[in-house]
Amino acid sequence: MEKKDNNKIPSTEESKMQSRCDNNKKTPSPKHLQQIEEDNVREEKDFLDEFQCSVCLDLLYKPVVLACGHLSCFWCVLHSMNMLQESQCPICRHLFNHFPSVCQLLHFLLKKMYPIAYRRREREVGEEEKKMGHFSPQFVHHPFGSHSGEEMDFPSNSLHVPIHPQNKLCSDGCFSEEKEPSSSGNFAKAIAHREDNMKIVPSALSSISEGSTNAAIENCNLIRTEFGHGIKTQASVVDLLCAGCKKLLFRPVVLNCGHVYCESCIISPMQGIPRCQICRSLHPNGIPSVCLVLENFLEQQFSEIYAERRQVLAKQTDCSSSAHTQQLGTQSSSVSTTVYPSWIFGNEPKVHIGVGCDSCGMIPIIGKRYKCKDCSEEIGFDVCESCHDNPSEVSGRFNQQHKPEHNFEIVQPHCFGEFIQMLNLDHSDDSEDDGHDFLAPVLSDDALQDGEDSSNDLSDVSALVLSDDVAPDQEDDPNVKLTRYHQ
Amino acid sequence: MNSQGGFSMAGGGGSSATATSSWVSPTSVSSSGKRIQKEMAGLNLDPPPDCSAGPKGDNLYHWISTFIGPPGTPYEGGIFFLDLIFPLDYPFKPPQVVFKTRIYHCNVDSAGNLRLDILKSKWSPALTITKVLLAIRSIFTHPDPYNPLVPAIAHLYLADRAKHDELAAEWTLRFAT
Repeated sequence: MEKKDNNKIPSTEESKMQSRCDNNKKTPSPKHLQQIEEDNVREEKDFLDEFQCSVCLDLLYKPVVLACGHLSCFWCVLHSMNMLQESQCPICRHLFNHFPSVCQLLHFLLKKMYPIAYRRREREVGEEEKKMGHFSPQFVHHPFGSHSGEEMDFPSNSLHVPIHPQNKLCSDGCFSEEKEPSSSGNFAKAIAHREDNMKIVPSALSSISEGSTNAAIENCNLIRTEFGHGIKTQASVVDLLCAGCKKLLFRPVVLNCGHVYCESCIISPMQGIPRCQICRSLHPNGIPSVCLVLENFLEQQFSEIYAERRQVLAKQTDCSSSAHTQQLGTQSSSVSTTVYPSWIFGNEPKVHIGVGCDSCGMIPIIGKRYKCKDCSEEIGFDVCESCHDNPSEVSGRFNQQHKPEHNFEIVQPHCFGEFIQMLNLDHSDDSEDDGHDFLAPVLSDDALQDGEDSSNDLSDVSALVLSDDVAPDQEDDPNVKLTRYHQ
Repeated sequence: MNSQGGFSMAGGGGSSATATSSWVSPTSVSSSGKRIQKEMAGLNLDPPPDCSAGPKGDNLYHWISTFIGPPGTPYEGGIFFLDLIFPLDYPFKPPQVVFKTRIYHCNVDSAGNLRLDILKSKWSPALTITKVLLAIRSIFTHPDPYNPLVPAIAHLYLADRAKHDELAAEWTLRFAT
């Protein structure tokens, strides 16, 4: 599929038309078009407000839960992150350094509850990803509600897992919401072994191969027609189990790796970093806060079981004092703020601007940066020092096809001087060549936009340099500062 | 050179970047457009008091906003026009707000530039146009003389509030009615 060559800003109508036209050109599949139209007709705004992403104002797609408990879509979080230093939560400005993995539990929950809206999001985001050439992770397995290995028989369909929750659950012998809550422990066994199968699978689309995407969409259509149209499905207890105690989640917290636990199930070593019991990956930002969106949902959806859980837990906490977890919860960012200016002066530790660790999600990488020599994806595969020394089974945050046998090389960060040179280079290049070089995306973008109001910017520079009370404030955002110098 | 890594190309339109190894990827134009449209719908449903905003012509990224000077302030009775310009990577970058009507205010300079922290360093992608409009409305009622863009006006505001209000009302009458 060629890139769309028009940069026109589409209105909804236009974009719909656009996509139709494009599809006509590329895939003369009336079935596909018909499906899209049907979906558009069928989909009212049918999702709860609490599952609206506060950044794109649409249904959460591949939700990522930050350490503060707030959540957004995968791309929304990534784009909100500051590539130069600590990032702030868009909602509460809580500082964080790590880009968490997608919370698969929520991903599959939303997919199940809002099949039509979620499918639309999948299609839209998929199109954008194709344009960008970078892909979000693809998930094959429903973490709880399906037989292990069942979906593995259809690897080509991996992107669009044909989950029909009700059927699936019945065949599993699991319990849906209506059944007796007290029996919820029974299926713990059945679930335990499925956890192992839950992993990120390099998708069929990982490279920019366009044909396969089309095929996938076609597949999706076939499946959809087979299974009939998505009926708004209720969430059941099995969709919302703690990864630790295998009971309904109570005060859910989401770790950096995307696994969800009850707050009380997080085993925190007295000192040091809590570790996920499933994937053994470290959770670097102290104990995460409760994800309130999920908690509210649980409380509404399963009020009885939830109340029961609360009582049980209240008794337990009476006996054993778990005060230390509460204290740890307030602990926030794991990286001290003082390290970030170091890249300007070229001191230790090294800060790799704009590069994130594909294992733990640290952006930017601080310390040594190991870059995979064998991964061919444009986005590259990098890990930080601690993740290099303790490798875990991750396949990259953007579907890189990284293999354990790949070799790494150490890459040095750019020092401040080089960085400025790069910017200048870019600037001179810009006129003739649209940048085969390093174009700092954040920066270059700014520069382009701010071109119009350079007078405004000049005053900003002087403000930054001269006035004392403004400078520390603006220091938060060297990004702004740099572009100004760039001008 | 590229092997050293660094940044990949960004920008609204399609780019021909060949740079390697970066987590920074471009935001697409269509996503910003979608978000602006959603906000427009929300704004129409529940408009904030004393103001209105909407796209200028058919350009979704250039809005015009109108504020009515809130009663009880020296700006009462005035109508103030503002330009809102959205960057292509909105909401990850703040919109740019410029007063088109002259106003005697310590946070607005003679070119109409506005000093508001949430439009600069304190911007967050979770902020919406509605929230920006509310913040602008609040500077009519509560100027921030400790963070001035025009120090002289801020000084007068602190030293002689009556004189300041008199001047502001005079300007409102002259430029905004």
